[in-house]
Amino acid sequence: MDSSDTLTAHLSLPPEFALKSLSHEWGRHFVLHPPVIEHVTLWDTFEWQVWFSGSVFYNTTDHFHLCKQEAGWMASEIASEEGVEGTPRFARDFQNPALREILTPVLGLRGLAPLCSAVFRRRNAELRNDNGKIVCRFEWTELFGDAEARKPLARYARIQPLTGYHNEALAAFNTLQSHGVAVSQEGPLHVLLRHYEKHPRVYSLRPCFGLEEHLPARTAVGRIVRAILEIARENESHIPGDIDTEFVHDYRICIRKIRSVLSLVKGVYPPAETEHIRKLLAQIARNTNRLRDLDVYLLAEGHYMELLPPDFREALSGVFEEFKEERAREIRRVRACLKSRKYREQMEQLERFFSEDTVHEPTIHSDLPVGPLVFRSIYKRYRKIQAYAEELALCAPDETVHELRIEGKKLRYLIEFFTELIPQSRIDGTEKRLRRLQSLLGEFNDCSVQQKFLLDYWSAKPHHTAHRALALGGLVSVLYRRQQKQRPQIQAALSEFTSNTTVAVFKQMFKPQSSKRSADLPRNTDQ
Amino acid sequence: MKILSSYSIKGGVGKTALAVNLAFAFSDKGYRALLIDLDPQGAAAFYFRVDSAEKFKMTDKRSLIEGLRRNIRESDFPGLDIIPSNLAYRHFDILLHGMKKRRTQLRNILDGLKSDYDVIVLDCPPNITLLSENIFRATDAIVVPVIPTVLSQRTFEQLLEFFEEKEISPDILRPFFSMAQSRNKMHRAIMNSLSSAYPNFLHSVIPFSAEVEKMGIQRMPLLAYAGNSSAGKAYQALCEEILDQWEFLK
Repeated sequence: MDSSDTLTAHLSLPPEFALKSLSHEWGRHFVLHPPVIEHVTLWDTFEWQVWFSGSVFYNTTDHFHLCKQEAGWMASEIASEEGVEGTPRFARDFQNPALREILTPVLGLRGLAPLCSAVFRRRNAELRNDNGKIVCRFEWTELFGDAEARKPLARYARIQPLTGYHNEALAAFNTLQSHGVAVSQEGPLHVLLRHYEKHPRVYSLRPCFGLEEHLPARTAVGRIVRAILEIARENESHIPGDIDTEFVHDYRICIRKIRSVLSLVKGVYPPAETEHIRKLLAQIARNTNRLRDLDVYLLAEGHYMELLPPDFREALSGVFEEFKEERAREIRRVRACLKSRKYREQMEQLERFFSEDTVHEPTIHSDLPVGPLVFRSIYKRYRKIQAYAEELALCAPDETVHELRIEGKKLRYLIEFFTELIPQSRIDGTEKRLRRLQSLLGEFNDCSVQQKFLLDYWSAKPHHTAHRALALGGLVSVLYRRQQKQRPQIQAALSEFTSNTTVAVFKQMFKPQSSKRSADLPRNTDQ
Repeated sequence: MKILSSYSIKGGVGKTALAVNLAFAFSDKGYRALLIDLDPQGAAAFYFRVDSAEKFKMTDKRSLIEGLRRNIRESDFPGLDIIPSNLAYRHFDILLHGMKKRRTQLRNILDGLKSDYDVIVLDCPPNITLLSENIFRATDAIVVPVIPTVLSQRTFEQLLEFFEEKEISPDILRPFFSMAQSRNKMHRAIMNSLSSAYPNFLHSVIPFSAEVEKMGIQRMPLLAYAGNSSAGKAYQALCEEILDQWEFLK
């Protein structure tokens, strides 16, 4: 740090430091202005997306501000908005297009929520020379945890040198230093988040499980389940708050993954117990089925509207209004369900079952090394998909495409759960192809599910207006056409995923007789 | 970056008061402004409580730019910097004489500062020298205070003759009436005749006012301490008029 950086750095004041001491030192040359008090509330998403984008979002009495975050300080402003009504959550809740545009990709589907509040008390001061000319400016900042707090959480000073008055600023810095002031190691945002025990952390649905190839299969599966269950419970705790739809979504993914790992790595727990737990997980997932369906629809409202000619949109908006009303009821039902004794017992049962302290009877695979066991499963799953490639015709029924999707998902989950055991450089290209195939199959399935959803809605309510009937019919047709268009793409992606080169990768890496997977295996050029 | 000069052949006409308030008005509107006090009397810097410039070598263009840069002083007002005067500016002429392209050298020198400022206001010395000619050729507009008296009228006409002689376009001139007394019949008559003869005259008129003279006691621009006084409002209007022409300045 050169001297000019030090001069303008944020400085921490020791507890015994008093501004009065500077008045004694500099006399009438030191002019202290009255304090300005600002009440601030910090906002972020569950995933700390604003913080990790290098920004800070906060509101004062009448403004929302998005600023750069530098060393725990609110730095230059990126965008702001005055007088926001209600509690904004999403980018679309703000009027300022610049703010909306910046927040949209940062937040994604996540909603903002208040993190914590603070009071900043700022005082400007200046040092003048004998002519009365300002030769150095200062800003003093005191941070309080709340409006009633008497003792500040932190106190800071900052010198603002004036061009042409470097020596005066340096002298002021030396004076402050002689009073015990030092370059600050952390900004007020750091102090505040620590005070409120809010710790920015990277959120992922794919945590590291700490797996090794020779770990007993039950130990490995137990680790995977416990880690995923922890994420599920964290999301579950946020579902009642209903800040955004991602909590339910991620919670459901976690429950589904736990169910999958039990069926993908077979024979790790006693069969009857496994079956019981799988049923339990299915029951738990069912609680939120309808809520998620409605969320999917409501999130795509704008998209659906665009699929229809403008004249039909109003008729469709009535449908969405009904979905919204139903969703409001559904979230209340889910809240009550999560609070219920039955649900709590189900979750306790799950946690107990997978606890490290619970002893289960040994089973055929429980003590086998997880690596070879899983590789065999991966290879088996891949072979199944290969079989589909040979059979899947353009006119195959939707159910067959759906089955292929389920098979693809099983393979994807297996690779994801045991990714720590698989050399990434070998599998990267293959994984990419699988993701592409899965994404097309997912879209195909969505179109199919959505058509069914709309037709169910249609038949459940017999008295639709002609306009609404046309709108629904139009939408079903568009979805059907889109679904059919995806068939050739799915075929192409599938033949790519089952091409000779991909087959070779799976054989080399996962086929049981070559499970040694030594480093001397030939490299695949298409990865 | 634009360069504006406050200039008059004659001293004591309100030239420095204009430069100081104009630079302040620009910074107040959010422009990054630099006021260069080229008048060796150093009144402009005095109004901002800034000491005279440190001595520096003025041997060539490079040393001059470096010296000027080193002497930039941040004023007490955000966005407004000052380069105070130095008695050595007396030698500006000699330096310019020795340079190639000596009549346009000042613009080159000031261009060296253009990345940092939106506008440079020059408070010029009250004379006609090679430096003045450089100023005329460097400047996007020259604001000329004219007291509505016969002598001032004569000096203004001398300035026009100089422009004609040196083949400089008089379009860059923006004269205005300074220290005008509306009750004075002669003042009114001269104002009428001059403004109809020279359409470039700005409409705003700065009245004779004790408030302006108090700048020496307050040591800050009139607009900073008495913006609502009658003289303050007149300066405000004058600055607004110049700012309105901002886009039209060369």
